Amino acid sequence: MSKTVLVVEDEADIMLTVRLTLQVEGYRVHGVSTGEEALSFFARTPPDVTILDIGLPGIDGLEVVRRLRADPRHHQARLIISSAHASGDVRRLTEALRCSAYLTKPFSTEELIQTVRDVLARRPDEQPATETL
Amino acid sequence: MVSTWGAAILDAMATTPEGLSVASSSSIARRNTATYPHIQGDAALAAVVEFSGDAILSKDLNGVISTWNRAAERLYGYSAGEAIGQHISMLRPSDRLHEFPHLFDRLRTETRIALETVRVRKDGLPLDLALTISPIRDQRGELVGASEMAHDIAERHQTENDLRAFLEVAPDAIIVIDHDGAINAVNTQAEVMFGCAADDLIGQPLGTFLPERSDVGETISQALAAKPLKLRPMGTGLEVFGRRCDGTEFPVDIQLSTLPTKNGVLPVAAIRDVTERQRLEHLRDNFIGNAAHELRTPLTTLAGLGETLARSYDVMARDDIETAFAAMARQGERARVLIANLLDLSNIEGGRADFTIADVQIVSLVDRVLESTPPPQGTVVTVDVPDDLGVRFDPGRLEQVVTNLLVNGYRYGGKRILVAAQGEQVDVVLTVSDDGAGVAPDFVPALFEPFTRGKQANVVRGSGIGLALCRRLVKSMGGDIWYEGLAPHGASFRIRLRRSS
Repeated sequence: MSKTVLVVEDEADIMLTVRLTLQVEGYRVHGVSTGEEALSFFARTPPDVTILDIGLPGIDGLEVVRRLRADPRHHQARLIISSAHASGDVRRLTEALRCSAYLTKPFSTEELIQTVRDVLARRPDEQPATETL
Repeated sequence: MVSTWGAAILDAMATTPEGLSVASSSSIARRNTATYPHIQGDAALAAVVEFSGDAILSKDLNGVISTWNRAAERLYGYSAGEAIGQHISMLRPSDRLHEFPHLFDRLRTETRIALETVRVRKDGLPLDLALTISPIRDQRGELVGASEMAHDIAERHQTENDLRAFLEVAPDAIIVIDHDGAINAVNTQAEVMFGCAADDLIGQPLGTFLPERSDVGETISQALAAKPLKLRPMGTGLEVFGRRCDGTEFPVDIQLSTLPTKNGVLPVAAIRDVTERQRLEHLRDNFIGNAAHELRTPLTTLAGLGETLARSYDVMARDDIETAFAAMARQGERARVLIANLLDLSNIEGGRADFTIADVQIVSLVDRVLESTPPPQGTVVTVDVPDDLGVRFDPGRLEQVVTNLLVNGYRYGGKRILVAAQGEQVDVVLTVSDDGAGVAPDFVPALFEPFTRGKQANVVRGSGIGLALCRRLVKSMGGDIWYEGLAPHGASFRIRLRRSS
């Protein structure tokens, strides 16, 4: 059965790009545009991997990560952070929150596919793999 | 008698501003008096006095002139015959007749009185003089008169005035520093920059206004202590701050140099307030970052979808292919508009844009704009513009501005938009308003700055420089543009333009 990817992204065309790119790779892709929607999606059907944009309206991507990590059921969820601001602060924060990987926008389809593949290849208890941070 | 007078005069000469070389001949003369017979010493001293470059006279306790050398004849214009026996007051201007009521009282205890004052020549011309007055005593040590040595300082005054004028011409704040690190002189720019009068600056340690920071590699005081003091910049690339009299600080660049003055070669600091330069640099850095940031979504979409389509076209659903192409076209257009606006802004700011100012009839211009950029479904635009109202502006550029404001209304505003124009005596105020939420108050100050997009920036497309471009265009043609919030809710953008006659 194909793996499910949740994409949390408020730019519709970025969402479309990620969705189509991962779909042709054989993933089932679900897209939501707010942090609230992401949390309720997790409550219903936790995905195999989640790509989270940091700069979301409402509760932002990092807050979503914090809340997920605070929930024992999602303690080992595979989370990929995507952001245009690859500042050291953001990276340290994602590291502290045990995110699986980091995608800097603009990212290429190759980076996107490879990152998702790498993160899924790890066992959940191997999260996070700090060498990719 | 001559010997004591001569010695007194030589004492006075030894301490004149230009007295260094004279002082050495004085000591030679004294040695002579000690070594050779008395008369020789007197003759030597008399010769030194007679041929001194400075005017030297002596007067008795009543103020009557008793000796008068050749330089005094040249300086004051009176021959020795004319001057000797006259009262010293003949040299004084009427407002200084009683300059020294207690001169001789002072000379009983003081060996030298130096002052800068004004005297009058025989022909009535005033003289700027540095006077050095010393007591003359008889062989018992009783005060019998005074010697007065005069040096013309008009030229020095002129030099100082020239220097002062020169300091004033400089665009920087200039501070001349004493050898002990205290402020010796400042120009007007320094008063303005530090926010206090020259009197509050002069005499203070330089460190009061240029506080030393431990993070500065070489401190200003270290640089000033260097021998020889070299002309050099300080603080370039470093965080050096100036401190105003009110305690506030501002970033500065400092150039150290030296200045020859009457008190010797003194260090000079030329100080430049770099607040504005740093602000512009910051804006420029942000501008580049923001421009790149705005291109992020278009480029990610174009490259990503292009590659996915190229690789997997055959296996993609027809709907997905169509959606992908539409998104690519949309983001390609977004990037194109952004680049076009950036180039436009750059050309206008660089003065490379040509404007063709003409009479523009507003109502027909608004019609053209509405035709090329119609409102989206559900939005109603009302036009309230008098038929005959016109403005002086570049027609194409005005169309660009109005289109921009209308599209902003479509994107961010309410469902009802009003385009109105009102004629005033010399101006026209053109208004584009809507009944939407209005602009958040904290965002209003930055509304016309490039790349400062509101909270909806992520959900509504826009280049982020539309209003910046509008403002630049309107200002370039002598107009003004501003924002007003509407009660109970709504946004109103207003442009003031010159009315056509």
